[in-house]
Amino acid sequence: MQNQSIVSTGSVYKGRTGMWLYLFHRITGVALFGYLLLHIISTALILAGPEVYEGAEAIYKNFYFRIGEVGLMAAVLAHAINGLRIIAVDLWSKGSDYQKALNITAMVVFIAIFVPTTYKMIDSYFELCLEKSSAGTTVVDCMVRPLPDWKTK
Amino acid sequence: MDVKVNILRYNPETDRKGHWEEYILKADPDERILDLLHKVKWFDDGSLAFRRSCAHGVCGSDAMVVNGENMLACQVLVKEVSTPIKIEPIRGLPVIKDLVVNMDSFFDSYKKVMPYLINDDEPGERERLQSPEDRDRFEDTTKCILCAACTTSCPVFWTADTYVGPAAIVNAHRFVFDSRDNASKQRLEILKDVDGAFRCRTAFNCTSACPRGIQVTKAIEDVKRETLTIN
Amino acid sequence: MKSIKRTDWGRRTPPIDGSNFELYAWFFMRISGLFLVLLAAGHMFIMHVFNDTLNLDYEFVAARWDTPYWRTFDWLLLTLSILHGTNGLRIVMHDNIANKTFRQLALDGLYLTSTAFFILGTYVLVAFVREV
Repeated sequence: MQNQSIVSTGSVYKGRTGMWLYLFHRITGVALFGYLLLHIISTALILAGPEVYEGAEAIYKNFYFRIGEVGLMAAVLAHAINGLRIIAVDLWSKGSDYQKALNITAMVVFIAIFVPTTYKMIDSYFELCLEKSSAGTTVVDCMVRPLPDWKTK
Repeated sequence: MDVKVNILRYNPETDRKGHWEEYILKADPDERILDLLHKVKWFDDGSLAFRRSCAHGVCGSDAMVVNGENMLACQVLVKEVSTPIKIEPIRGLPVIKDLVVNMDSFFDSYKKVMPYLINDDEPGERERLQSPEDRDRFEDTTKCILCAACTTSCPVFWTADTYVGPAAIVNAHRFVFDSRDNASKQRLEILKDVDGAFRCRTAFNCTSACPRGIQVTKAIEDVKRETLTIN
Repeated sequence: MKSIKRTDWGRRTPPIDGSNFELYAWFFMRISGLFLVLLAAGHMFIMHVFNDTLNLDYEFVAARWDTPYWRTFDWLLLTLSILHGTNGLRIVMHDNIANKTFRQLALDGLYLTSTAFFILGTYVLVAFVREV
């Protein structure tokens, strides 16, 4: 906007939690929509048969994508829980009176669900990786390279 | 004590961009931010432009961004803010000079919601009476002084200046929930379009910015729910 | 500086015969959000916590889609998330693209993309037949 650019100094407005949650909700929302489109494409490959589908899925089966999946989980959980907070503020007549308590509740609930979920996802990755790999594979190996026999059960 | 004040200056005749200027002032901790601006203007640099009228938090002329937050310069004391004190014009409205912004679009939005009592019924012999409970429904929003602190703290308004903004919705709320008024429906109709109340994303910046302590976001939520109920 | 037309104080703005679109869009976001919390979070937990995506293969998906129940679940998830996401992006574009031409272009692109992906997703869910 013209007037913003004239005196823009890059200084940040000191909004409270609500402003950052608003921004965060936008960013996770846009990111999740982008992911949704990618996900539709990769799932649509299943029409081309097992070879193509599993070939595409194999790209995701390494530690870097596991970190990405944890991020995806974080985005979904955060967007969902913050969304419930927004619904409470919008549709419950007392919602805005308790908005600070709701902000804190949303963040506590997020952490309470996200931490055990992350633990399970990371733990399960190493367990399956060590189980499926040839003897002598270490945890470090699981982290740095996708396994050769990844696709076979 | 010596206070360091940084003011975002902009002179439309010479500057193409705003720039920070630093002033070291002798000030008492109990003095207001407005007193600091007076010291600069009266004894240091007479070209500094800012608005103020009553200087007691009633007229709503001197809303500005102090240390990154909207407030009235006449309501905040030096000891209440951290130094160096950074003062900028309110955001989202065109800057005319230094801390003075063009408020036309702000007041146009205000006028758009018809902020006056509309009742075409026969006036009758005496006043239109109202129960204390009915009066309480809009008590909070009668306190607005149109300083624009809420509207210019709104992240939606910064990027989309067509949004009517919190202040206009607060003033619509004042009449929508007034039992003596007959035009609530028309006002809600006006606030229903793309630049109306549903543009609010509940960031709650307006509520913390309001120098009168109005629960601005709550008022906007009331308007949204009322629109939902009557439709 | 842009000049702004001043409105006449005495004149009452005639009621705009406005559509309820923004109201319904706002309400839809809340309601679809509620369902999506169950559907999307449920989907995430099934795929990433109760199962592990490392075990995800053709057989897993095929077995899942053998039941019409899961196909319906996935189709609801697809439909609601595309609608919810499209409306969300519409709002973001409205808020952040000031230039009207660019905004309209972006919006058109968005609607086109969403429709295409909705059709693709629905087609996959309906047309999938197990090969092995």
